[in-house]
Amino acid sequence: MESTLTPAKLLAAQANASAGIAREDFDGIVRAHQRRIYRVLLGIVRDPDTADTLTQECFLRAYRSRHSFRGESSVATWLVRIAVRLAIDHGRNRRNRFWRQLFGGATTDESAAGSTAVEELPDAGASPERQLAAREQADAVWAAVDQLSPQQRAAFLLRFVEEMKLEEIARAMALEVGTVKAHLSRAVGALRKRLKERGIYAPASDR
Amino acid sequence: MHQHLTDEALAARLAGEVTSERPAECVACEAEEENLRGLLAEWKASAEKVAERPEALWRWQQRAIAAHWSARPSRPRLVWATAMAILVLVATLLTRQPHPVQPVAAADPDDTLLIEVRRSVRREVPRALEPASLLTQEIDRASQPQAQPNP
Repeated sequence: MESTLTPAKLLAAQANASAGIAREDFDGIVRAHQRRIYRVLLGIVRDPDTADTLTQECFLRAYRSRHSFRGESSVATWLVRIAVRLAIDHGRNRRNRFWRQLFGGATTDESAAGSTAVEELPDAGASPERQLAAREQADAVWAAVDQLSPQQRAAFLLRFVEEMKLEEIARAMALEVGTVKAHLSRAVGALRKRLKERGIYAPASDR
Repeated sequence: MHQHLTDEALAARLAGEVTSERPAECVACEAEEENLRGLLAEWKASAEKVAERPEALWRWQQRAIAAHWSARPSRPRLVWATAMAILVLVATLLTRQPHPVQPVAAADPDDTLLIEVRRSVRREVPRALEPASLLTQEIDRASQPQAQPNP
């Protein structure tokens, strides 16, 4: 069980959202959402320590602006919005980018891409061949995802890992639904290209 | 010749949107879509797996977050603390005893006499005759003829 904050309590908190979120509710909100926020951040920034730091920062920002929460979106969407903004701002930091490139970061080194993501992957019950194939496939998707811009990556992640609806993603990223679709379309295009290069599969046009 | 699924159409289908762009009975497109769905499912599992951490780490993170916001006093608390500090300061200043007046040391009578003698010597008129001197000056001033304008 992830949290002691029951759905009923969350709904009550949202119903009373005109007055913001009370201090007492915040511990429960952290427990209920920290895993998801961390997962989203890790998927975008691809570094566990950075994701951890940004997760803490996300909740601190949410706490500081809790009085301005009006319940127009769910608490989860509100938190994801803060997290995505943090991750994108982090990606814009030129100094971080410099160090990442200097040490052969994930954006350029295909072999490194996805290595952190898939180390623990397949379930113990699968055959070694199946595990290897699954790992290779996930690795290929990570490599393609790493080539995307932070916004495209965030949209792709929110749709296909977090399974959020397009409207929710649009709210969380402060974008139009059309822009989210465009990000997803580019991401799928990049994925197809990368998979073809790796020989993982052949697009329909090649058959 | 078939028009295969574009990136946009494929993304829309994968994202769960209904699209009419898909050509009918295109086995290749269907296979590609299925293939991609499988890949995305593997990737989702991978993303979830890599984000898993021991329970202790989550608890540590909860404590770290709570410690941050406990350490930062909220604005009303800060205002109250400042007001109380000012109140205490004012009360302290009001109840504080003024410094006792230090008694001036008694002047040396010889010095006083010497100063008095020096002042008397410098005077044009002895002190006892000062009122008479003032009276004389007034009488002189009154008896002087008024200045006549030059012709």
